[in-house]
Amino acid sequence: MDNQLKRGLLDVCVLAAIKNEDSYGYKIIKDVKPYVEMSESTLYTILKRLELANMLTVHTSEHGGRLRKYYHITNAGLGRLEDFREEWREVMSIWQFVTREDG
Amino acid sequence: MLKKEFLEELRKRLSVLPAEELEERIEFYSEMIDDRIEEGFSEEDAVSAVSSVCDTSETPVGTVAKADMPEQKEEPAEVQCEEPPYKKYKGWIIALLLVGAPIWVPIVLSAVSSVLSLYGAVWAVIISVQICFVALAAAGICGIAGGAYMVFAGHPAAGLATIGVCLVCLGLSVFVFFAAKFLADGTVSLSKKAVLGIKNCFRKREAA
Repeated sequence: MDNQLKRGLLDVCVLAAIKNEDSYGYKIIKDVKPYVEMSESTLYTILKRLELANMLTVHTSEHGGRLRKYYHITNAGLGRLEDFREEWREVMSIWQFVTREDG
Repeated sequence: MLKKEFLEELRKRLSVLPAEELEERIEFYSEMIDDRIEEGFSEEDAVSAVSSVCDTSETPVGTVAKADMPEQKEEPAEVQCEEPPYKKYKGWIIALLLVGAPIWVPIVLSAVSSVLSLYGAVWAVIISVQICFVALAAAGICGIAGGAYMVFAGHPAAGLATIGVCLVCLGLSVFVFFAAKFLADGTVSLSKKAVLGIKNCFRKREAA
């Protein structure tokens, strides 16, 4: 898969993983695993990128006697997911055109 | 490999990163390992799982470090392996500070003394309010005693009027007490926040 395309898809996968509730690194990796394989280093880079783009915020909470970082989707992040849905409708229609049977 | 060894090795491999960035990454991997251990992995398995995701080299640590570095390079805003500008021009900055000392030292001193005198003035107001409370309470108690004496001494009208005024003083003293407490607590809390803010400012600079 094209690297740029994959990068965009990974971003929305991470946003989708925290869409319904705040989540933490390991859980995000587990949640997206059935759909896409993602390493810790990749996730770290994506989370930083999304944080810089104000699509998510980070807060630290105490868990089991240690601190754990939780990621919270912002309105900009939700907007990105909405844009993704619209973009992919267009992509799917192009795909149907490209893969249509001749005749 | 155990978590501690892994993180130490990772720290060495990523030492080119700025201190703050490095600590953030170490914390991230540490949390990943802890979460796996919490799920039932042994420490070694947890470390192995974190480090072998992109396993293409012999050492798991090398793998993670290598996986980190190229991706980070795609994000110039995140990784800056060059020295920060202020370190690059450290000599110039010191020279400028020395040359400009006759200007900036008095400015800093006057700013500090202004802040301190403002802070002192705030506390003076708080102490004044507390003194008001003590005065009102004392006047109230003594006045009631005096009023009672006047009543028994044959001046009931003047005695009752004094007692009434003193009860008002006592009532006011309750309000003044809470006002003084609110002001003192607020000032202490703001002072703590200011000190923490200044401390964090210095910590961030040290980390950078």
